[in-house]
Amino acid sequence: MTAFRDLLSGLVLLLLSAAFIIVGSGYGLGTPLRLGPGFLPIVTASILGIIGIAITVNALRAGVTLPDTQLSRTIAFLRAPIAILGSIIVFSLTINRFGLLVASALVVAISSLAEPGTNIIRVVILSIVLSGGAAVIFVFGLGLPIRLFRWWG
Amino acid sequence: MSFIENIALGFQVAFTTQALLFCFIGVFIGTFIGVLPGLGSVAGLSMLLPLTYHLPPSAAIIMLAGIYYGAQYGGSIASILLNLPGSPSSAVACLDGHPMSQQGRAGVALLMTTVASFIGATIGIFLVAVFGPALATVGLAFGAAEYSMLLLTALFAAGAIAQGSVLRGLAMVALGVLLGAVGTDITTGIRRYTLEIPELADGIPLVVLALGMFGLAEVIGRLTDKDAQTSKHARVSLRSMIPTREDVGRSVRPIARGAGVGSFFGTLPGTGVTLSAFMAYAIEKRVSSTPERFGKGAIEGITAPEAANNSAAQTAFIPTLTLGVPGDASMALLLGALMIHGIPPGPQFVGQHPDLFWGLIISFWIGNVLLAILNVPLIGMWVQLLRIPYHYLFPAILVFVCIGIYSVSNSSFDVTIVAVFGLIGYVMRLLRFEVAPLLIGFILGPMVEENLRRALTISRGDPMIFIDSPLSAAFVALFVIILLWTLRGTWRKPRPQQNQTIE
Repeated sequence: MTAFRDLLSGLVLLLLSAAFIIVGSGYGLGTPLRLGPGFLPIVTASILGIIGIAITVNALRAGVTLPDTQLSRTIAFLRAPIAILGSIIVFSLTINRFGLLVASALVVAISSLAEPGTNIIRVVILSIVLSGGAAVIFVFGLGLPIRLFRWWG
Repeated sequence: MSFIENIALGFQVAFTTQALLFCFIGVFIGTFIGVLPGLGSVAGLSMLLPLTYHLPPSAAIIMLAGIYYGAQYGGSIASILLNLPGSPSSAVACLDGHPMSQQGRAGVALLMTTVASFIGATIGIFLVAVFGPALATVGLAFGAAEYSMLLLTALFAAGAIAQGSVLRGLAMVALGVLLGAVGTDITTGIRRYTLEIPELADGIPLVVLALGMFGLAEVIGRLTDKDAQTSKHARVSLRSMIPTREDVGRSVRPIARGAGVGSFFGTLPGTGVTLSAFMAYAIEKRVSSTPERFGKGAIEGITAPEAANNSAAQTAFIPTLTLGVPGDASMALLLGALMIHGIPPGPQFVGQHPDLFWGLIISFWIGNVLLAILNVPLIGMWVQLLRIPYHYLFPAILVFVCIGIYSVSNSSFDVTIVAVFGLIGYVMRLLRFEVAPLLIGFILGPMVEENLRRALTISRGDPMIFIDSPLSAAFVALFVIILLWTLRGTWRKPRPQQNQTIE
């Protein structure tokens, strides 16, 4: 399992390294007198790539066994990240359009899906409490210029 | 004026009712802002700056300064208790502070943090008072070549913070440097890696990176790992806050070292509290006879960085006040406040406004005393936070993170990116990569590049400039030594021990 993880790590690094080098090659290396904008990224990405190769090779030498994954376990595993990250994205989409109260409430509601079997009533109450509390702290308390509520688009 | 007379003058200015009042307000707000994730001292200062326009200059600066160093105290509270940094400089407190909290020693961690912060700040203030103007010349001795070599060494040392293999740590530093390159290149004006997105022209905000990778990734990680949720040691009594003799003994030298590191980096223009905290951690780990304890609740791992960032917060005033060069964004705001009040900082500052200068210094110390007094009883309250079941806590954390990030530039785009980095941070967590080295690479990378280019422009392309100056050559030598030492270490033991549980 550790070897598999290392293999993935190495490959991820190689992927990132390649991406940065490819995009960065257009920026120009420049001369020693005037280093171009591409110099640092390409050098650094190359170092990253070399490390990626080293880690991958080490992993392969240690012998890799693929873990057996079941679909149901994978889905259960993905639940929390999707719920949490999804709630943040929803906030970014709704904060300007609908205001702080709605956006915060949605964050609470959607992120609660991260755990299976949550009490709906608890979620609703928590949404109201937290969005209200946030309004008190951030807008009334600290004086942040954030719109609380807005209905039309 | 003799030193004693100066101190007396300072006490006169700082002990007026108004000065004390605003000092208190400042440190109180500062701590609060520091605790809230996403809202660092920069956001707090920019929000409260307009309020100070109508105050006399001394009161205004005293309050703003209080917010600034108060935030350093507060930031570590969230780091220790929730593994969620309140500000980027507190991210390092997560590394050992949170494990301590999980071992039921949250109270001890918080208390030692406060103590270390206070001592660090006191040492920093002392240095400002005694050496202030003289220390300014140290900052001046650092030209582009010296800076670039110093920071390059620091970058490499950052790879050493990693608990796993140094290779992985360095990979993260490299990735951090690359992420730091995203945005507009200062020297040429070309946009790099912005993928045609206009909001990225200014680069990725530090607080977004830090909060996404440390904070969000942590929340996701906690929810997928069922065992990590219930805090087994919810009971906290006054007794459990008291550190053992061993704790205290172990912390004396780290605090001293941390304060030294912080004072040094605080004085240098351009480097600030975040860097000081991380460097102190790296140094502690390097000089410790038992480095494997780090990351698992070693008390040195929090006392050194906390002493460092608080002493850096104080000594950062040296270049700001005596040279007019701010160390970081918060200092820049304070500088702006001074100028708004018609008091330009610079070499004339101490001479023309001795009452303000010394009044500030004494007031800094009063502020730290207030903070220590305020924070200690509150520790019990903070620890109660741990008893809240996580399913109430994590939505609150998310709301605070969202609003905190949004409030930095009223930008919903920033909130989107924090989600992206949350994902990246989580993936890194799964692959057992560490975030701390990445953060350092992100901060230092652009600075290394800028100074490297500047040095080569000054020398007209001649690389010998890096060895010409004794200071620069010293750093090059240091870099080579650390490099060889690290390689030797990797050569001896084929694979460092990794106590990783398989998921």
